[in-house]
Amino acid sequence: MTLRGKTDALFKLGLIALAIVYFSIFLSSNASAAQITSRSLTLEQGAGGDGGSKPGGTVKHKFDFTIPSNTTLGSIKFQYCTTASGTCSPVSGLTTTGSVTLSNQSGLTGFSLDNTTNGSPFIHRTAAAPGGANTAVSYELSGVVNPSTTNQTFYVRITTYSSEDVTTGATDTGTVAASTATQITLTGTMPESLIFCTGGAISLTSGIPDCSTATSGSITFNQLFSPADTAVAKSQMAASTNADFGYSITYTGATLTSGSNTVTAMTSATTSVRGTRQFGMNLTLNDGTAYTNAPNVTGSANIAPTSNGTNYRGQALTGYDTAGTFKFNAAGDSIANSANGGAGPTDVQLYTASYIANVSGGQPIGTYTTTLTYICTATF
Amino acid sequence: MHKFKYSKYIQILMSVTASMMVVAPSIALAATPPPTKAAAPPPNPTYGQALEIAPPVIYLTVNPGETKKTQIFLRDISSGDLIVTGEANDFTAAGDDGTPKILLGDEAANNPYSMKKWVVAPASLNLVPREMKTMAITINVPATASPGGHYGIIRFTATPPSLKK
Repeated sequence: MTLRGKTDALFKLGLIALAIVYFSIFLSSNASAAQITSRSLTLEQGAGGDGGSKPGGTVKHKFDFTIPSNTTLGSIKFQYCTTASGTCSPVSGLTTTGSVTLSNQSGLTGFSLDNTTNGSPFIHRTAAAPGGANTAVSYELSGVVNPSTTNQTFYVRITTYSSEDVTTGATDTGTVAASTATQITLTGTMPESLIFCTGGAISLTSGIPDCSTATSGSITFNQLFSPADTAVAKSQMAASTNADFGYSITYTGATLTSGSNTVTAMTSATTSVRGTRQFGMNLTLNDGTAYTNAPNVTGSANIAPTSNGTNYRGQALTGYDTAGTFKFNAAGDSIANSANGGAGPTDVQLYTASYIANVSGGQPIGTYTTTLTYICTATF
Repeated sequence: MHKFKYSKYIQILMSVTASMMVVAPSIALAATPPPTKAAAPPPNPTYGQALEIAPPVIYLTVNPGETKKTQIFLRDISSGDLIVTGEANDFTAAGDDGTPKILLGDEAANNPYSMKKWVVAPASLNLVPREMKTMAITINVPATASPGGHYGIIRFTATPPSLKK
């Protein structure tokens, strides 16, 4: 074999050797650096209320992904860059140091955060352990300051390492992207207000008294007046306020009148007695029960929703709040307020007023009417 | 010699007023037929009276001779049109629980805390369902007004147009 021949042979051997080495490296690379799957980065609202994608906002960055390899896992690096690949340029305004913490972890746990390098925090555990093939994990970093530019897209390159300090043994990689965004700020004002409505009936909508369903305030007794039976009628009202000291409801009006004739007002809270002359009202607890001395008085429901002393404070007042007793004061009277549990704001509640009319046999004929004016006022 | 002006503290409560007509069945109409030429009464509205006011309480500090303007938001929360009118009255405490007692007629005559006459009668408003409008309130404080607190109430009454005719 000539020298040249030997050289050629050596060169060919060299090529084969190089090829073998290269092939070996290539195979090795394919086997260890798998792609992290099902990966995402969610920008969540921070503890101070900043929206997750607010430029410069102090927020939470939540990483979710699946680790494919069942190899030793000691640390995971989150490298923030302006591009998905190639040289990593830092993201302007981003801060991952200082008060940034690992506020949540699941899937593979036991990690601590190292935030000493801005833009490249990593989590690690004291003793590396197998990752577990196709394990879904989640890690949340709190206190991250977002990039300062609006609509700034940034990328986080996630890399797992077998070492506990992200220096050696890079295993799996994957990149996630996110962006800051223009904030949409919604502002609404709740004024101090008072709501009051009356009508023959007020319905509940989704369990809430609905003033828009109030029917006409012109109501008629259920039957002709008779000494043999009690005539009854009902009306309803609803009120609410957010005023500091709540509301008070009063009424004014005359007793039932026809020309110069009247039905005697029940000036104190008393029961209904057929065959006597009585006009009175009751505001609550006539829940359908017929009373011994007034079998037709099946009256009203209780205040609804029921008062609880907190957000429902409505209550009927003495003289009008006892089932089966009725009262009417032509000079006017307070009949309800929002002081159940102490005077204060209250959500809307429904009151039902029951009216009764009893007459004696000598009650002059006529159409008896009255106009009652209910006044709902904020208290002071 | 020092010259100073008194400041007055005034409190205005807002209230919503609604009326109910309670009537007996027409037993008398059968016995006494109505006049044949009488105009037909307007039909009763099918909806009730429902109003939202904001704010329900106003506190103002004013000086003698000053004109103060403020405003109230009114919203029709019934299912039909409403005409809203406002009327000023004085009030005093009905007890020690903060319940106001509206002073009507002679009761208000010698009230040292009166401010009813300071309030310019508000113009009426027409509202359709869900509509909110602003009612301007003007308070003319007399130059001779006594110092101290003055208390008034403005009652807003919402009436369906058919009952106004």
